Amino acid sequence: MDEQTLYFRIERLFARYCACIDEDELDQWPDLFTEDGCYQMVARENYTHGYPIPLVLLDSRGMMQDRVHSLKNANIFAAHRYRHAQSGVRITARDDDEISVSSSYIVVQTLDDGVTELYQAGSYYDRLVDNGDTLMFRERLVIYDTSRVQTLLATPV
Amino acid sequence: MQHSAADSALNDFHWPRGQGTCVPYAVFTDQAIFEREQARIYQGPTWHFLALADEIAQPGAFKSTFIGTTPVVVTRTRDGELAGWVNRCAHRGALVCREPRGNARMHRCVYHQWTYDQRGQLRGVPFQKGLNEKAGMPADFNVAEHNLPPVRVETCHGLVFGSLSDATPDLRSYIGPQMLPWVERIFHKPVEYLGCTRQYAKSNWKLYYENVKDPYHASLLHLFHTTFNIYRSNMLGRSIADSRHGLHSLITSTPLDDTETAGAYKKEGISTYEEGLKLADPSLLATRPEFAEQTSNNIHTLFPSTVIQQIHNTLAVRQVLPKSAAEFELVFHFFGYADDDDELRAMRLKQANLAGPAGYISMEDTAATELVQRGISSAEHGSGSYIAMGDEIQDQGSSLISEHMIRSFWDGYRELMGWAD
Ligand code: FES
Ligand SMILES: [Fe+2]
Repeated sequence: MDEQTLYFRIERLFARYCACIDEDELDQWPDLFTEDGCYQMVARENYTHGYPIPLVLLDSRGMMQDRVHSLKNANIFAAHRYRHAQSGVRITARDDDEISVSSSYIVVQTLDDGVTELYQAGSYYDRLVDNGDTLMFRERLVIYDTSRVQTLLATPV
Repeated sequence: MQHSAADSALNDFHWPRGQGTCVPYAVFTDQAIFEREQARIYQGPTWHFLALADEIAQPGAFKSTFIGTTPVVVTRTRDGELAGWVNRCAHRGALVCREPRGNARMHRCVYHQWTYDQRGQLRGVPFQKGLNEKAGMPADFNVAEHNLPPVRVETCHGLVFGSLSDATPDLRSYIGPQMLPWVERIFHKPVEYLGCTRQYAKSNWKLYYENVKDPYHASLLHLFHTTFNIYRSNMLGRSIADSRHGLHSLITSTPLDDTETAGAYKKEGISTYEEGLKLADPSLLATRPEFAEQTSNNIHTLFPSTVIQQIHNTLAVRQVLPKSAAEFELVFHFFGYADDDDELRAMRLKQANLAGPAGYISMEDTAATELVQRGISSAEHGSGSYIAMGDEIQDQGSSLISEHMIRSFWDGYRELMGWAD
C-alpha cells in the first residue's frame, strides 16, 4: 500500500474513533479495537519516570465493553460532551504485521451549564493492524499531559 | 502568632447544637476559616504524608509537594537520611526547587542563585563580597542565619511524613496505639512506588474527609461495587474513630457470602442491585489474598491529609491538598510490595481501574463533594448539615450504616479550631 493510501486509512480510523466518543456512539468504540486490543491511559509524569500505574487500563475488547456498560449503568458523574482535536499524525514504524502511529490530541469538555473547558491534552501512541477491510487498534496508549484530572474522568479520551 | 481581624472574629463562631451533629456550611465556604485551618491545623501540631520512602530511595532524590498550601521539599541526603524544608528562598521568597521530582546535590534558586544544600542550609550567595571590593552583603551577614525553614520529617514503615510545628508529638505517638497496627498491617514489608494519579475537585477538603469516613454512602452512591460484590453494607465491617480525639479513622469490610447479601438488597428495594449484570471480562476482579484477614476494603484516614487505601490488591496512599476554601487536589500514590511476582503486579495495575480519578468505585466521590459545594455555596447564614445516622447504635465499631466517624471527626476539628463547647 502506498503511503498516501495508508495515511488516508489512518485518518479515516481516527475520525471514526473521535465520532464514537464525541457523537454519543460509545457503544461502538470497543469495535475499533482487536479482540485482544489494549486501551491504556498513563499520566506523562509517570511515563517519563517509568512508573507503570495507569489511569485506565483495558486490555481486551471485553474490558472496553465493560467500561461502556459501567458508565451507562453504574457510574454517576456530570453529563458532559467531549470534542477531540487531533494533529501531527506520524507513521513511526511499519512492518508486515502492524503500523505504529503517533499523534497529538486536545479534548475540550462541555458540561450541562454550557461552559466549555480545556479538559485534556496529550499524545496517542497507536499500534494498528490491517484486517483487510479497515485498520483496527491493537493498542492505543494515551499519554496525557494534563496530569491533574479535573473532577474525574469517566469517558475514555 | 499574629491574628487578623477576620480570624479574631472567628473566636466567637457559633456551632449549633442538637440531635446528631450539625455542621455549619460556613466551614466549607469561608476563606477566613480556611486560613485559620492552615494556621491551626496544617501549620499546627499535625503530621502529613509527603512520600513513600521508595520514591526518594537514592541519595539526592527529592520530591516537591505541599503541607496544606505550604510548598515543601523532602529529600534523601548524601548519608541516606531524610530532610525537609519549606520551598521558599530565604532571599526574596522564590520557589527554590522547580521540579516535581529529581535528584540533586545542591538546590539553587534561579533568581539570584542563592544555593542550598540537601538539608536546606544556605551554602553560597553570589557577590556576597561584592564586585571589585565594592558593595556586597553587609559585613555581619552570616549565611548560617539564612537557611530554608526546616520541615520535621519522620518515617514509619516506609511512609514519609512531614510537620511544620515543633509542638507535634513524634509520628508514632501521633498515629497512636489504636491506628498503628493498621498501618503496620499494610506496610508489613518493603513497598515499591508505582506512580501517582491526581485529580482536582472544586470542593472543600473536609467534604472529602467526611466522604472517606462515611461507609453509609458506599453502597448507595457507588453502584459498580455493590453490583459485583466488591463491597456490601452487610459485610463484616469495622468502623473505628480514634478514641483520643476522633480525628483518625478506619473502615474495613470483609466479604460474606454473595447470595445472602444480594438478597438483603433486593428486599430493601434499593436501586443499586441490578440482577444478572456480569462483566464481559472479569479479569478486573481477579484478586489474590495477601493478608491474614483478607479485607476487600480498608480505608484508613490519618488526619488531616492522609488516607491509606487497600481495595483488593490495589494499594495507595491518598494525599489531600487543600488549595482554597472551595478547592482541593487529591493525589493517589500507588504502590506494590517489592517482592511482588509478575502476576500479582499485573493485578495491581489492572485493579487501578477501580480507584483513582477514573476509578469504577471512586469517581463518584469528587462528583458528590462538588454537588455538596454547589448546594451550599450560597446557603443562608447559620444553616448546616444533619448527621445523625447510627446515633443510637451501641456497638459503633462494627456498623457500616453509620455516620459516627464523621461526628467524631467534627468533635476533634472543633477542638483544634478553638470551638469546643
Ligand atoms: S529570590 Fe532566591 S536568590 Fe533571590
Ligand atoms: Fe466513596
